[in-house]
Amino acid sequence: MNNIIIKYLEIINLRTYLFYLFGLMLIVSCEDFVEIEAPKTELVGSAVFTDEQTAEAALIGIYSQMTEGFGGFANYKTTLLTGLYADELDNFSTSATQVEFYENALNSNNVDIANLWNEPYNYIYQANAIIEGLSTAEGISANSKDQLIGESLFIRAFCHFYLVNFFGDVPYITSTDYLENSKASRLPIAEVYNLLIDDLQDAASHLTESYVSDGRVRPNRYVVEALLARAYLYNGDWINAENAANTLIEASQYQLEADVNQVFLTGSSEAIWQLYPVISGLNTVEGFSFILNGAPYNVALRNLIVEAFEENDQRLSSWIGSVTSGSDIFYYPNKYKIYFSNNLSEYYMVLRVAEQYLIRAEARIHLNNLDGALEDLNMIRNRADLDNFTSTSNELVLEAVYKERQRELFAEWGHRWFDLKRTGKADEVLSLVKSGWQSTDKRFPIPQTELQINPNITQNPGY
Amino acid sequence: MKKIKIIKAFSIFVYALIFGSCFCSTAALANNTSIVTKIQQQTLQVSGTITDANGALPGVSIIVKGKSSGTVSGLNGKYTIEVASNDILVFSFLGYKSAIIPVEGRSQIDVQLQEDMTALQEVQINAGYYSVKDSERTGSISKITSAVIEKQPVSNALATMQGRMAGVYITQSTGVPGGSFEVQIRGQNSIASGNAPLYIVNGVPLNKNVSSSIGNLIVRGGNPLNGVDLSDIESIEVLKDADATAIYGSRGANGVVLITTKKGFVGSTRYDVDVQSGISNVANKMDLLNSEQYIMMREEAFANDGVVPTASNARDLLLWDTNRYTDWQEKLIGGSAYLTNVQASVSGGSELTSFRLGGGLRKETTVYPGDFKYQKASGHIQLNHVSKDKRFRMTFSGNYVSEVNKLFSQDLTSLILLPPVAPEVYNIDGSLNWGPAGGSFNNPYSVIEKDYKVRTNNLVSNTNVSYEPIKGLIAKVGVGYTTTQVEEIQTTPTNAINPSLLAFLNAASYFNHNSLRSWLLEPQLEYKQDFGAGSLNILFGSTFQQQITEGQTTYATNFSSDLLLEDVGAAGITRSNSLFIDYRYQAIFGRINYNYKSKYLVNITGRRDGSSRFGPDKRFAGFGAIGMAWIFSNENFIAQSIPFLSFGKLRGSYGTTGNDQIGDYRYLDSYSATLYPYQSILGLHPTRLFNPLYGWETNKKLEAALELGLFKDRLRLSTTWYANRSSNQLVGYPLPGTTGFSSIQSNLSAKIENTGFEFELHTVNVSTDSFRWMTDANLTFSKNELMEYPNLENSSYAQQYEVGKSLSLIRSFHALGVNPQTGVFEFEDVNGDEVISYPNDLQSLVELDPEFYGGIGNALTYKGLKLDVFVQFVKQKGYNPLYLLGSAPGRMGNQPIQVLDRWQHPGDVASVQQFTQRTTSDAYKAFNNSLFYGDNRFTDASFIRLKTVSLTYQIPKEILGNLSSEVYLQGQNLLTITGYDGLDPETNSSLRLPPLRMITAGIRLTF
Repeated sequence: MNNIIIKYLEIINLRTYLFYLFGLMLIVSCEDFVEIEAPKTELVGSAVFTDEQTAEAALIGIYSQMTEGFGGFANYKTTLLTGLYADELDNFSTSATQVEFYENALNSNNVDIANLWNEPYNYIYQANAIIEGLSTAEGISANSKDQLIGESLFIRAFCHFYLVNFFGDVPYITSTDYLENSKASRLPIAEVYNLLIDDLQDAASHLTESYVSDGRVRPNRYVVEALLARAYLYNGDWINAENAANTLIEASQYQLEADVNQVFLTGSSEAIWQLYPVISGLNTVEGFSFILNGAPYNVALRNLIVEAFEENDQRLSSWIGSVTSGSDIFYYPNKYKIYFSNNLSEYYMVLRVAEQYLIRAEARIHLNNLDGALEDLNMIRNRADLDNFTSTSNELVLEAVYKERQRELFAEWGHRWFDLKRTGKADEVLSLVKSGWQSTDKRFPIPQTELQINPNITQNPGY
Repeated sequence: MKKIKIIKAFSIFVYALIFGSCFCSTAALANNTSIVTKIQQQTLQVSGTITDANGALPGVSIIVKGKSSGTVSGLNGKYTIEVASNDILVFSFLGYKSAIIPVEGRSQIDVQLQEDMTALQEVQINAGYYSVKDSERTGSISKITSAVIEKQPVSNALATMQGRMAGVYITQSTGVPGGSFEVQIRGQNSIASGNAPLYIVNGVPLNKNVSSSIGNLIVRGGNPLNGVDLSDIESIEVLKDADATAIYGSRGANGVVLITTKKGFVGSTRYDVDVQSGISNVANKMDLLNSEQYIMMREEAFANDGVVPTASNARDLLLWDTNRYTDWQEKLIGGSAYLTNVQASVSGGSELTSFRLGGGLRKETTVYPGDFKYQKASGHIQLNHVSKDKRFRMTFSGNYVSEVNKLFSQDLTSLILLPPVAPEVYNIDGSLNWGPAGGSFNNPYSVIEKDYKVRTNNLVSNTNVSYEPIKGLIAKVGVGYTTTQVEEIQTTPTNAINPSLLAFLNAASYFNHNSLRSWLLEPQLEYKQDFGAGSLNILFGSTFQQQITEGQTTYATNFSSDLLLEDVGAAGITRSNSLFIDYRYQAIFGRINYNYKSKYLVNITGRRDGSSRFGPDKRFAGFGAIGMAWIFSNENFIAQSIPFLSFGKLRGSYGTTGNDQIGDYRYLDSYSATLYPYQSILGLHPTRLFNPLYGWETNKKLEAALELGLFKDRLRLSTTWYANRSSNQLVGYPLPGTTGFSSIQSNLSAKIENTGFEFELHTVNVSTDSFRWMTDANLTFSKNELMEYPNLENSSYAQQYEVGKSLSLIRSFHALGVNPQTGVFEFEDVNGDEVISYPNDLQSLVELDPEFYGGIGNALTYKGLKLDVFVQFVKQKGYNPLYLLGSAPGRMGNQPIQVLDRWQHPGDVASVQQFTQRTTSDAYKAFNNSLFYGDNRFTDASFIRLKTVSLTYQIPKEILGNLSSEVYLQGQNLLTITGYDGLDPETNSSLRLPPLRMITAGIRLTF
């Protein structure tokens, strides 16, 4: 009897013992269980800059974002919005944001304004991330590093250039530290120019003279010099402007295309920097948006631009198209002639050498080199089949250069708008043709969300 | 001395008894029974019928006192049992006083049971990991049962809960079937993370809804509870305070909704069939301008602006046929939706094994033109098994729901403000009419051509196995598995595109496949033991959960033909985005509960969680709570001095919980591929900033409550006060554009407090044999306040929130009305700088949280007739329908007729400013100011809604014999009393389909 009881006790004990053990095992927490890897669909920042390919992909990503979609700051919108805002385009769209540009009645909550601010700063962050990531990176060759850092510095300066021309005083961002950047304050225009010129010079020292890929779609040292020339010009630094323009004009690979129809094509010798189209079938968004087949529902070229050309000007027949609808004739910018085609024969021109001639002409006038200025001016005029311009008056030649800029660079990357502002003619010219024009309209309003979030940023007067 | 000795001896004896019983388990018990049977006298068979005031009572439990044998009464109330002639039978059934009747040699014993009001105290409440008697619970838990749920013709469980529970505020986001709901339990706790509660079905957390990646907003993401079949729900418990939710740790901050499905019915096999059919429509239409009034408004607007209407700025006046009139509300949302719902189930079993198997089909069409519908097919099974010695228990439940929603790309309700003079929708040849040349008409029926179909399959399964090796010690393991699959297709054929835009847009399709699967493992140990007058209950367990979400969204265009839009392979261009989320969760939790004489109760709960959602430096945290209760009605001195008090409890709790609804991987600085390659090289771009200190939000909850039952529980009142403080807010902290990002995920040391009073009342007004009248009412006053926000003035929220005010605060310009001289809205220039500017003049503070809300339900029963009437009420502010179009009166778009009271000449006093159509006019700017910033865009949106009316008639047994059947008539959202001028005060913030008015009729058979 006792034996049976003892045996029985043992079995019970064992059973309950095992039970408790089992229970405890299940209950002990497992810290490793909640450690997970980064998801399969993403890469982590620290990994991106340890490999040459991914580091380059991070840079390429910026260009890809610039040209993706049907309109961004670096892709049609700058041309469109400044064209409407100034005196180049007439509006036919019912889009409220577009109407605000056309009527010079911008609200700080305008979505396009927010994009003109946020997009460049987004590219600036990415450029800064590359510069910072590469500064500590190992495993990437010095040549690659130079190229990538050079291009990133260029992008940073390029974006700030447009920001300062849209908004006036803007913050200059050189790091990815978001805590610092969320308290950034607006720097005076002159300081912004100094900083971006420094960046461009730094970029030039990192880059070589050759293009690292097919065509002219990646910035090289010449591209940097071209933007430098413009920056110096806008800043009134005539000597440096002339020197920088010289570099471009004297380089054999950059020649004015004799035929204006060839200027905006893929293999154009005039191109300094173009952006490669990424959406299949879409050569340029400008070609897609401006070409009219009937009455306009978006925009059309203003008559006063058409009238600014002389009758035999090649650019009038080549770069401006027209269409009749009923008894009306409508004109449209036709620099890009392809609406939609799987054949990519037009890349999006950002910088071209014709502008460099005009920059040098203007700089030379201020340096009292009237002959040199006339030489450059007439290069552009002759190409368009116009006769030479002659004068011995500085003012008259300057006026001629400004007029030529209006004609050569119309509906192109905001040149007209920026020129009107920097030459002090905005009020004079626009108050005549824009009914809602006010003097404070020379600067776009800072987006309202920015004011809300960053207390160090104040609004431009008049908004 | 003697007393102590006796107590000592007694306790030693008790311990010895416990100890001894551990050794003498199963085998011993088996021996005992057989011995007893031998000593027994001869058996006899007793049978009879058990009834209550209304008739036969099935399911009554009959046990032999002191023995383990027993049975259950059948459908007709009859029972048979084998007993000894000196046995005592105990008849018990929930809601009735148990009857104890000695056999005394009789072979026929009929029993009529008396209803017991105080039995309400005995009702078991599911508290998640444990269940507790309602009288003994220390936490705040509200419950509704299938009795309430089955009276409503809706398809989502959340709709049945609206207005029924104190502290639970549910709004329906859209009347489109399959649409989503917003749930807030005791206010908004989080600034930017999820505020939804944790949903648990039979112990398994429901997958957070895999929302539309296509961006289709028509069902607004749907709702996870669409995957639970209503007819299968036994009860829904909502856990609110710290005592009830701390055991859920980092997921309990916003409350927990527990859904329990029906179990097998013990007794002879039972068949249930329910067939229902009904009709619904939009109950209220807005009063809009007719064609004449519209033309007059437009012409007046042009005249006011001094602008001549031309074909380009006034195509509605000059190019469209102004004699036409279309009532867009009638055309777009004026249809009737038909509902058919069939449910059937079989259940049965013995005392040891029972099962329930059921399924159903539901089909609802829409109020929109065209052939669109929502279909839901569901199946469920539940198995229960208990071993003979009652030590081993097992339950398996499986729930499968498949929904298909055939809709289109956009809620047509947003288009009811199209001009009434708009052209014909279809041309003579049947194609869409896009308007005359130059007079483009954005045809709303083009939206209908853009098909959208979503199929969601949801499986929730759960197995619970428990074993009791020693009496009082139970070891359990719960294993759950859920999967959700979502498939969406949205197609835009060429004929749905405005020809003038065909230059930009191609026919295109969006595809989305998402699948989510998760498994859950929860081993637990529970120990229950009585020690003298008190009883101790200890629970200890752990949770392991993993959830994997995978998906792919594809955009496809350049199809060779519109007929192939649903075939990705036929697309010329495709772009895909992949999704992968691995979520892991691990925790240990415990509970200690001590109950002394059912008078003093203490409940301590806690949990330590780890989640993969948080930054590496902050992966684990602990939560806990203590709840206490004093059932003073059980105290002798109270029972004697206040005889009419049948139940009285004072309880309170304090503890912490957390909120982890912030998405996965958000602390990583990740890069993703760009949409397009650049010269054939794929680019990368950063998508986030890194934050390793990313932790969860905490919510500290405090509560005190008094529960009273008077007059034998004929009146039960519960009054609760709560104060919840939520801090460490997880926020996509908005960043200025200069940082390159729009936000970063990080913890903010802001504190939000939710306080309130909740009242729940249940009364039995009249209770006689034939007539019964009961009332259930609840009322909640809640207040939300941002208590603390260090450095708010310099933060991104400086203009959005204000310390001391609710999170629903909207800072506005104070509107002063229409200036009689200029006819333009005026605003108060608070800082006196003569410009109405942002932000300085935003000093008018409007809060959109409801001030109070609740519901009153009355249930009347007369013989076989049951009438239930439920009324819901809310006091709140909402958006003025005058601003729903988003465009000033005078521009191209219809307006409510209120705009006719507009200013026309200097000196007019009017409520609406002058008509204008130009975006540069002063009137337009003032309108824009109102639309974005004015306090005139808010108005009262309070309402009293006759939410549910249900009339059920039990067909007398004499007619149908063994078949029990009921016919019923149900109505939902029948009548709304409100001063609000828009479509519906519940969906006031934008133009979308309001909750529909439904009327259904059906029949239920049980046999």
